Amino acid sequence: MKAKIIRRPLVLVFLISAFITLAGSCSFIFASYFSDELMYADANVNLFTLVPELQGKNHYEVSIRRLDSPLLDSLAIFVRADLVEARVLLLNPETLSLIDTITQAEAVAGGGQLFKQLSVNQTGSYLLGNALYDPLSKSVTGTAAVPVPVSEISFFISPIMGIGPFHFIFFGSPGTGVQYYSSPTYNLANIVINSVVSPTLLGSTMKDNKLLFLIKLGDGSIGYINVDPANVLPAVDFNSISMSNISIDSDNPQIWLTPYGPIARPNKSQLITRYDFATGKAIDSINLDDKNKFIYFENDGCFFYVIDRVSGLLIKSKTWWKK
Amino acid sequence: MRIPRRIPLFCALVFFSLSSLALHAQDVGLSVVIVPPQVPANNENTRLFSESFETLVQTEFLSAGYKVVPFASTDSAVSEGSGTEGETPDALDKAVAIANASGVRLCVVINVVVSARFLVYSVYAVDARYSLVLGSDSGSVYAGLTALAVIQDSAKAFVAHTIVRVVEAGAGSAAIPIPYAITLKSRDEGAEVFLGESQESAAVVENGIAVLPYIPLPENSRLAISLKKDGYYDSSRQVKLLGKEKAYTLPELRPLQNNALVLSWGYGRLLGMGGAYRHYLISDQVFLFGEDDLYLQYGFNPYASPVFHNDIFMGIGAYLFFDPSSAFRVSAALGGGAMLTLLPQKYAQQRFFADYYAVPFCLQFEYFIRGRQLVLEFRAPFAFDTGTGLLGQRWCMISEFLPMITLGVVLPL
Repeated sequence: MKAKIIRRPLVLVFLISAFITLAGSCSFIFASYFSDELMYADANVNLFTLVPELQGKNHYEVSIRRLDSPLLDSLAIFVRADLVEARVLLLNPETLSLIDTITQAEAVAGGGQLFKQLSVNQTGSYLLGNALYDPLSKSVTGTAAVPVPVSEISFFISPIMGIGPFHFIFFGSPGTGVQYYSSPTYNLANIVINSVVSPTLLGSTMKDNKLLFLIKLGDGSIGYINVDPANVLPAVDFNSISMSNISIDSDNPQIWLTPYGPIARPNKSQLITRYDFATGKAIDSINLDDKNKFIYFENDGCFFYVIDRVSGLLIKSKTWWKK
Repeated sequence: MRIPRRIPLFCALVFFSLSSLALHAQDVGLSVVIVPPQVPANNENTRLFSESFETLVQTEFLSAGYKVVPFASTDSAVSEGSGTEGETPDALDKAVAIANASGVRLCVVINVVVSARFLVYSVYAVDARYSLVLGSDSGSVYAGLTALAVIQDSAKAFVAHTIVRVVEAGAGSAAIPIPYAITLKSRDEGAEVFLGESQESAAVVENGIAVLPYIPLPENSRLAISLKKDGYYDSSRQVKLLGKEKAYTLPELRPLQNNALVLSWGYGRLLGMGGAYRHYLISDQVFLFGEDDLYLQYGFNPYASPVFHNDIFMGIGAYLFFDPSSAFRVSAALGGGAMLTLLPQKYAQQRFFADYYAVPFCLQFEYFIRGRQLVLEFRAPFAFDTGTGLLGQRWCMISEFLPMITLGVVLPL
């Protein structure tokens, strides 16, 4: 009898442990009509309250970038739609409260132009498109010094600060190549692309003081290479560095690199998957409830942002692996 | 005077018939003891009909060349019939014991009761050699003069059938009747049991069982049994009578429902429960319902926070196929509701969200098993973008393509 009393709680504990273990590894336990990012939500704001003209627009362009600067940390959101003036919203990255709105008209008056590439230069000023924005005076003060070829840029990598020289990387569509700048001289270094494998740079981040480049080869395989920033100049030959493959089942995935692994969203998919740097295999994933949601991961892998284009709700969420 | 040619022929045929029966009885050397009906005191009608029926049966056996041994009622004869110590002997055991005590092979038991101007009678014959019921007859008739003709016919038919069966039993070709009274097990206390097409109750379920009157049905035959109870749907079952099986379990009756509570749980809200109240506009056919599903969205991840959802759903449903007594039914429902969400977060412009939706078609499969009505439901709401919710305007699916699938139990109120 006594043994039974002792055994029953043990069985109960075992069953609860098994359930939690199963629940932790199986997403069907918490599957619902609602998007998974809600479980990790930290803050939210509705874009339509910040830009009322967007409400009811079926299509609008949006781009998000976390801008860390000694002068001001912010979350920059570029929005543009038909009959809606392009603008950049600067939000408090913690609370998502509005800091400032910079319209296209203000940028042009200041000598620049807004487009979706958002970055910070070596002095801590913001590069909103090629407009130079001073976070202290909250005004556009001129044009960016970096010779950004506006018409060619299809992707733009945030600068990586705190490791000596200021590094700045961008690249155009496949074939135009990857270009790398380093402050203070902004010397251009063309990164060598092997013409046979035709690599395309999908993203970059810093991990263990190394530059990580995420690459897609001509045969569709995707992987990454480690590059020591000290050895970037004058050129990096992608073909000379072995690439670690990751198995992403999509031709045209959206990819973000974080120090905790590359994150990929297959084309028009609701599934967001994190991959292991060491093995290239999927580690974990979450489900969005809508294929059309916009998503952006911070480079440091701590937070991600999801915008529901229909409701305009912007949710800032902790990444599911990072407290 | 000329004697018609037909009369000698008729006499010869009668003589031949009686002789052949007598010779047959002598061949098999059979005797029979007849157990007369027990007549209650001061019931003259019962006494008259009992004596008449007994005489008729006796005459028929004598005519067939059987020797009829007088019945001497003794306790010892009855007690010999008990198969196991402490058990009350059943009718078959008693008859066998009486036949053995009387030194005969056949025991005929007669029951006659006159009540409310109706005569109810039964008679059966037991072969002590094989412990078999060889023949039986029973009936009821208005207790008047016309009843005599009825019981006479009954006695003739019974004896004729019995003596044929005696021969069959000797040859080993008789269909063996079950040697017991059938017991039925049922959870429906107070339900009445009906046999075949009969409109008269054969037994009532008490303490979980109903014992039928003994019927000498052959083994492996099928008996149609109906169970009826006020407030419940009738249930019918065919029982195959097996040699050793004495008790048969009847399916549980399904109550007529006017109100019900449905508890549900399922895919899409595994970390929660749903409760619905159903009010039947037409019993077990058309119902109004109101449902509330409370559940958590939580990833069992140290970095996740639980999101609270409360889904309120109202509508109307109707059963599409199969009648209410059927074990399996299909119903469809439509309605609308609201999914309320509480999003606990550190900084929020908005914490409460309400998604309004319509369900144009919700399919439910119901199965009645072991007294429980289980329901499997598939539901796909269409959410409207009212600017207050999280879902936008779209069909709500789980993992892109699955509807909500829930399993529930319907509890009658």
